[in-house]
Amino acid sequence: MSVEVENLCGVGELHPSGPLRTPAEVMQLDRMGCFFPSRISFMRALLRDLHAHEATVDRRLWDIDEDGFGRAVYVVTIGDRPYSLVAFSTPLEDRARTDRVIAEAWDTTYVLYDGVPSGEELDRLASVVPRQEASRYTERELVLSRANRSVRLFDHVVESLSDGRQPTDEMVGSIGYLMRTTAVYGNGKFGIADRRTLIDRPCLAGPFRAEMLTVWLIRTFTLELVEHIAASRAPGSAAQLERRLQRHLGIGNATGLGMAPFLVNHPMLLNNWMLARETALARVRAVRSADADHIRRFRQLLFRARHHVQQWTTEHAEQSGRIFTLRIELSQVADVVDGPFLASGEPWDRLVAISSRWSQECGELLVSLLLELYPDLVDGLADCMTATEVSRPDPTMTVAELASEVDDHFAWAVALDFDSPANSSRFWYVSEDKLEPRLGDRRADAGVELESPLDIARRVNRLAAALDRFDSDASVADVLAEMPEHRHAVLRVQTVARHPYSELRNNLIGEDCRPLDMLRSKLSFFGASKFDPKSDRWTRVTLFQGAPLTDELGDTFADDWWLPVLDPA
Amino acid sequence: MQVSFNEIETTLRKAAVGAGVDEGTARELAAAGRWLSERGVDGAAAVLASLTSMPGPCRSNLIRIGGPGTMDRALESPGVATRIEGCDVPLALLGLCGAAADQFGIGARLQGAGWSAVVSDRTLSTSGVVPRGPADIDVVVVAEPIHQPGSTVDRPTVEAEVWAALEELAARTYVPSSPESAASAGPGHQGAD
Repeated sequence: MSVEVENLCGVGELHPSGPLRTPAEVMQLDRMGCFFPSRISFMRALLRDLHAHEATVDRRLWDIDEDGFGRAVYVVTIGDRPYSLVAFSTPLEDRARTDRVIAEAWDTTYVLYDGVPSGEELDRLASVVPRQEASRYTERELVLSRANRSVRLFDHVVESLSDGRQPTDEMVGSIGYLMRTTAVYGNGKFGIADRRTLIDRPCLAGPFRAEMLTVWLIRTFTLELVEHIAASRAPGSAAQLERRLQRHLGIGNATGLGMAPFLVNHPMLLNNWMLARETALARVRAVRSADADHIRRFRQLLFRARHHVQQWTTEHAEQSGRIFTLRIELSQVADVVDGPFLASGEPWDRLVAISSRWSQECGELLVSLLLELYPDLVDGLADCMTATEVSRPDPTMTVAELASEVDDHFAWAVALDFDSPANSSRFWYVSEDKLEPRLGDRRADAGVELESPLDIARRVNRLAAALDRFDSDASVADVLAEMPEHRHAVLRVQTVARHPYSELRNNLIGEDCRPLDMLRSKLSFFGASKFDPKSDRWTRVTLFQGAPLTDELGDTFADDWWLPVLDPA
Repeated sequence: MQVSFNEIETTLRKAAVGAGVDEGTARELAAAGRWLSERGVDGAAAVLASLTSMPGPCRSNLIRIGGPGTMDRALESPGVATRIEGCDVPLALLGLCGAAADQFGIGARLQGAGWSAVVSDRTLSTSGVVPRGPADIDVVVVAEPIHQPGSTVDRPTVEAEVWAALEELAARTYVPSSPESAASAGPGHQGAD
């Protein structure tokens, strides 16, 4: 099945495009769990937009003591509208430092504030922000976040700078961030502003833009914090952190199961993210021939990607094995493109075609690499990644039509036997512990009666069986009047019929479901790299590594930090 | 108390599930509550009333037949009145119709004894007093939006008692904490690296 793109956000017809990869091919978690960041990832697009709007960042308040505790305010001005990152740094005992969302104290806490807070507002924020989820907020607060120190690197950098020297490349390269966020909340959580507040704001209208802006500013705070502490310890003799090291230091993030249900609960958004990415790839594949500049650029980026992968390490056995394989495969890719391969017609299409000989990890890295080559074909699609979710099914569809859509999009789910324990061994639920989503063992764990509705495959399987009881010309309204419990499944089928990339083609309650793949795919859209899984349920990543600093938005490299490498001094 | 629209929608969905409503209907009730709230009407209270005020058959009358089901039938037959008899919470039905009208880009007229209402994308206009209790209502779908003056609010307000009741219902969907449960989310990490 090929997928047609109908005037995607008004830009779909501007560029030649080949057929898109089908949902059956790409909406598989084993593939999505191999995604890499790309130039339409949210943090890349955000920084491009900030530059285009001549945004500026300045530090308005720095009330931090010699140990690094206190408050600071950074103001980013976009057009004539200011936003403030308000940061609070507080002492934290080592035993209280945890990546889990159920933590109750952090090294630092943050809020992205709509405007510039007055002294009175700062005091209000100081009384609520360090308590995070335990507080209530107002519509002036746009994003809420917190971060803990990476103690090993944070201390090493402070000690090095206070001794008048630079931290080692080995330490900076192996960890890659001074602090790690453990949650970044937006869209109305705990009373903060709804996302609709931002839909007409320059730079912030796209998905997760405000959240990414917050993280980028947090990165600035962490860099200035280590220099401040070092200077306090050694006034007049402390070193300043080299720019190349500052750029390589991003922000860590620890992500667990909480991110997984998002992809299932936002099918329209998922569709638009995937559709933008696949459309971008199809446009690049449709390029008839590559000129010398593009071939040279491809080789440069491949060289960088190979270095990046060399610097990507993890203790996770499976991912470590994948990285090992990827290193070998990228050298094979280099061998292929060093020859005449790229000189003939449709070079990128042929490269994607032969990438099936390598791992999906390699294939998806090549997809992201190819998008780097053609900003003119790709970048506009970053503006097409928002969506409005729908909540009700279309009752006028006939049973025959609905059954046909089930066949087209969910045949794989209908074929599953959910009486088999292997196909329903797990269940998703929400714990009363900070409402953390979790994954349980159906045979062993309590709470199965409170299962969350992530069992889409099973629901559609049951719907398909129920449809057999109705005449083919009966309406969906007839079905739902008699069997309202299928309302959600009907909506999912109708949604994927119109938005083909809206549905994961995996049984999320089966024993072979790997939540980690859901996390990586979503994080890749954010722009995360250096995936460092800690289990099949949570991972660490690095955000904004290699990104321009706040005073570098207009520099030539400012949009050229895909898969960054720490170059030697 | 002030809450966000997103909080209203997510809390109403969970509260509806906690009250025993199926997932699909719960999402529609949540969207209905949000739609009303965006137009300055206490949608949270309306949905809560539909979940709690009438036990048994009357409640299902709204949720299963008089709510989404009524709109299903009305959508099947544009221009033709679909009648619901004894709708428990007419305001919640307005929200359901409004959210559906918003999604499909249509309008709907609701007519009761001594009152009427028009719902469309941004519009909620009423004449007369929408009854709080059971009422017979005719719903007519119009194939295009009905443009009438309407306004939305920036920030909804919910009575603390209503919110507490909704959170109590929502809490029925949470699994109690246990060490085994905490472990199922993945190992904790004392971040000394």
